[in-house]
Amino acid sequence: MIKLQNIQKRYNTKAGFTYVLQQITLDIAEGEFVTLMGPSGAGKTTLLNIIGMLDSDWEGQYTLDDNSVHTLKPRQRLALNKQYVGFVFQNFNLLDSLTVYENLEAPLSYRNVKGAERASIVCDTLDRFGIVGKKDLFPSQLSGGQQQLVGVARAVVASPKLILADEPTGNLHSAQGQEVMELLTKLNQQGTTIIQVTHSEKYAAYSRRIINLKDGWMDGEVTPRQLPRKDR
Amino acid sequence: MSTFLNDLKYAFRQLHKNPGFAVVVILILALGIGINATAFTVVNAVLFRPLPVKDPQQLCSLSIHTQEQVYDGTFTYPDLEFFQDNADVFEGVLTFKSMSLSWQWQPNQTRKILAEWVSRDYFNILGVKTSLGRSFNLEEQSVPNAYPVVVLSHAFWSSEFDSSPDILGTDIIISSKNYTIVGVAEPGFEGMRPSRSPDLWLPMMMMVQVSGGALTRDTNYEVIGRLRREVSRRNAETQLTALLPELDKNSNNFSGKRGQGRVVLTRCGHGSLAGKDRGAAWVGSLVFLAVTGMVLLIACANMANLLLARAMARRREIATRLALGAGRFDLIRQLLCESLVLALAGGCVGLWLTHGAVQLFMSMRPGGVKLPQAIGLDTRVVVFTVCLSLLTTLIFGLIPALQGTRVAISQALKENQGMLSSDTKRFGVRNILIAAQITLCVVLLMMAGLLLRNLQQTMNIDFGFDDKHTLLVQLPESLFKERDVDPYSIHERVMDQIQALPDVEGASLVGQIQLSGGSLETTVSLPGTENGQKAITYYVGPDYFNTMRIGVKQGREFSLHDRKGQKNVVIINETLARLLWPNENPIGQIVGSNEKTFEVCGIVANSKYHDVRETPQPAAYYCSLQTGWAQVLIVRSKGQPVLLRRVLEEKIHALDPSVARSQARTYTQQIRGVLIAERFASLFITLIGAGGLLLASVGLYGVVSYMGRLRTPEIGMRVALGAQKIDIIRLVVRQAVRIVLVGLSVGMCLAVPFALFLSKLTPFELSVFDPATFVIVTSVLLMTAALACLIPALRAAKIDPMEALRYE
Ligand SMILES: Nc1ncnc2c1ncn2[C@@H]1O[C@H](COP(=O)(O)OP(=O)(O)O)[C@@H](O)[C@H]1O
Ligand SMILES: [Mg+2]
Repeated sequence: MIKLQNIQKRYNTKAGFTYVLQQITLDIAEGEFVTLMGPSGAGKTTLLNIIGMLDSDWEGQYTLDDNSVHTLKPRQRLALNKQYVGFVFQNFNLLDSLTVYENLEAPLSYRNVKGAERASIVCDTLDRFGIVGKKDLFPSQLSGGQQQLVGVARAVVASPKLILADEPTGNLHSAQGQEVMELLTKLNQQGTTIIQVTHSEKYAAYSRRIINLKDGWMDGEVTPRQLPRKDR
Repeated sequence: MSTFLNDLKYAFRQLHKNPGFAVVVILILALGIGINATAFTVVNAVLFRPLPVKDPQQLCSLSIHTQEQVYDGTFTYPDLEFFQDNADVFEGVLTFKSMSLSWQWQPNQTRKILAEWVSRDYFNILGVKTSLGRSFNLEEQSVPNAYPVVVLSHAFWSSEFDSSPDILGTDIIISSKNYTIVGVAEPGFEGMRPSRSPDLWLPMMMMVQVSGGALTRDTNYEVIGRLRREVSRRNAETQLTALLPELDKNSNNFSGKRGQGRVVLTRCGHGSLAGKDRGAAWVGSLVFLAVTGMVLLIACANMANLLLARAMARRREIATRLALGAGRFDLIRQLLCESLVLALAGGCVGLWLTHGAVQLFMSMRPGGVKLPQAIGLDTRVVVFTVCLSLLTTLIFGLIPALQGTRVAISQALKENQGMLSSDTKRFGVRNILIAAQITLCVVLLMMAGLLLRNLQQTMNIDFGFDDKHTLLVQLPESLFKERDVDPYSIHERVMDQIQALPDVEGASLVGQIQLSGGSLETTVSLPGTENGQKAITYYVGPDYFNTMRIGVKQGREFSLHDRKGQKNVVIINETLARLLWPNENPIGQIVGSNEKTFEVCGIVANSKYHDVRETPQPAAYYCSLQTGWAQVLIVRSKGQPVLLRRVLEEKIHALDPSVARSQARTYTQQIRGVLIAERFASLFITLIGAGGLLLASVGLYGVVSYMGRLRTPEIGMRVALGAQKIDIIRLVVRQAVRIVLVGLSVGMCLAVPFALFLSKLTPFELSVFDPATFVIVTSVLLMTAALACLIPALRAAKIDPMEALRYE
């Protein structure tokens, strides 16, 4: 599904070019659950943004299914993002002025889903994530864990093929983190491709593949020692 | 539609979340829109508002254009009758003449009122009904001097008679004569010139009563016709032009000149001014609206800045939405929707302010200008305001919407405070907006400064006569009531009263005074030749030039011997003397004027006649004892003229105690009154300029304090490293100084062509390169700007480094 070849990303700083990603070559098949790991500043977020097509200033080749992303204009990349990707952010990035319901509705409205259909999808999703009771609250009225639950729900509401989660558990304590990870696993089992960034070995263990990044370079790939139990 | 409703819902919620911001924005907008809507309300009343009569668009005022001259409002009464009888293109033809008369409202107490003499069928032709009684009938309007009847205006009736229906059939005393009230006009009708709305109407047939034979003598009637619906204006003009030769055969005043002219019809059923005034008002209105439009632009730039700051604060939200798949267009629409809500709210408040401002304006009656009562908000004003609101949405909403949605998503998502200090490009736009505000402000202030200078210089011009220590007072009109009264006897009666007063140094009776805002013109011709010289004309009594301190260069001034029956004499000024007799001595020469001959008995120095700024004009003075035109008394006092004022009023009142007491005024007051337009314009633009300055300083303040806040961590760090307060202030102010200087210099450059433009369009001659004005405007602006910068800079200097560094 995702095919990255020699992806490079550099910033123009006063000291000259600094490369934050170097020669990233990576294949991710549909239905995989991949973890990106590495120290802070390694370029994980940058890579995720490139895969999610929010960043279009890089070199190399990126093929998403049959689309050669590197040949597309920024506008077309955003259109592709709309079609494929759901984002989960470390700091949730919920829209403060919208209720939970409206936060879930936003991605659908940007995808021109009709009103009645939109309502039924949002209600379904609220139900699936067990947050029906919170639908009229504003993000500021929720706990961190609940906020991230909404963040995940919002990422999946438009049924994306690919979920990109940047430290989705970073701001949560472990029980809440576990809940989010279980959600992601469930989505993965239903066929959604997931790429997550995490610092935690424990959460990395939910995935099938761990890719290490260091100073912008790929630094090997491992399979988690402990696979999540099937019954989870 | 549902997306729009959604946008609207979020817009309201956003504003509700941040009510302080919303209130500030709405207030600034309301101010900008309110000033413009007020300006437009006045323009609307002056130019566009239809008169409350039947089919106002059918009313046309008639003028005759010949090759040399335009005859507009210079018709005689027989001319009017000619058109009434012969102009088939009109359903009816009317004229009216307003006159200030005295009304004896209590025994021995009189008051000035404004009356309008109206011609046959006036009310019927206009389609104006009465709310009580009837209007004049045919008989009352065709038999001279037989039916003293009066129709009151609704306003006069309600203010003076408490709207009592019992007044019908009772008499009121106007100019010492009883008139029977036969009706009250319907409310809202204020005659054809709401800027001079009369208190009551009298049939023109009674005019002889007041001004002795004026009906046939005067040559300053307007002719207004109601065009038949089926006739086009073009056609009517052609048909009326064909009547002109016959019109001229009937009258001897114009010696066949009008016969070769053509008739021009001008719609006159809208606004409150006529003819030339209307043209001047158009130009004035455009300048007026251009100036207020500048304030709106300043307000818009201010708004744009505030919204831009907000859009930047919301960058993370915007980036999140983009990451969720929003198109840029979706976001622009959302932001514009918020602007729209703000603008419409601002418009509503602005309209409310306008309502208040108009009320205030009307109660103040600036400079004694009587505004039509019907002035006020109508659909046209509301539509104008709504359009203005939409326009402002576009101007101030679009820039931030376009700028604010141009976000590097991956960058913005990282920001936690929602602000990015290194984003200098966006600051560029903010700086430009502030500089633009300052530029507009400078232009406004320069205009105000130049106008004030102009006014000051105008008052310092040498008029050629001495207006100080001089008083003017109007004689009671009743003195001239009898037909063919000898001006000499009036002169004697008046001079008897006042010459004995100890403080009087000189006194003279005149027909009209110099620099009164209008002037008469006659042709002075040499005998035996056809064409003469046009000259401004005055009718003055003995001792005029001494009283006015106008030098007699040659010959003598008028004396008591220059009476009716004696040799007709004329005094000319130096310019006219040079034009008529470049090489001969003018004294003793004979000239012709108005089919009479006069001998030149004196030559006087040039002075100002029509306009303070005019170049030397030819002028001729005739003796009022011979012509009988002298209703104004000029008195020169030894000491302060105010001291003489009361006594003078007493003495004049004693001439006819039954008539309203005339007010004496100084000549200087009179001239100030003539300069009312200048004074009004300077005051107005100064106020507007001050408003603009206030808005721009608020904008500057906002930007400087925003910059200060943005650089809080940096400032904290610098303080931690040992920076002094003054270093921090310098740091914060430096950028502001650059903006102000750019705005100032661009503004100065723009002010020059703008001032040139203004002096082209208006009668005000502005000396564009006036160093004093430049210096004053610059210092006022710099001082205000310094204040606007210093407050936030001082606050920034107080930053606690530990506090500040925690933000990092
Ligand atoms: N605007 C920028 N200019 C220069 N360097 C940047 C910029 N944004 C990010 N970087 C650098 O890119 C590198 C990778 O950042 P990021 O992908 O956010 O790391 P992480 O792996 O912690 O998510 C970091 O070293 C960071 O300093
Ligand atoms: Mg990161």
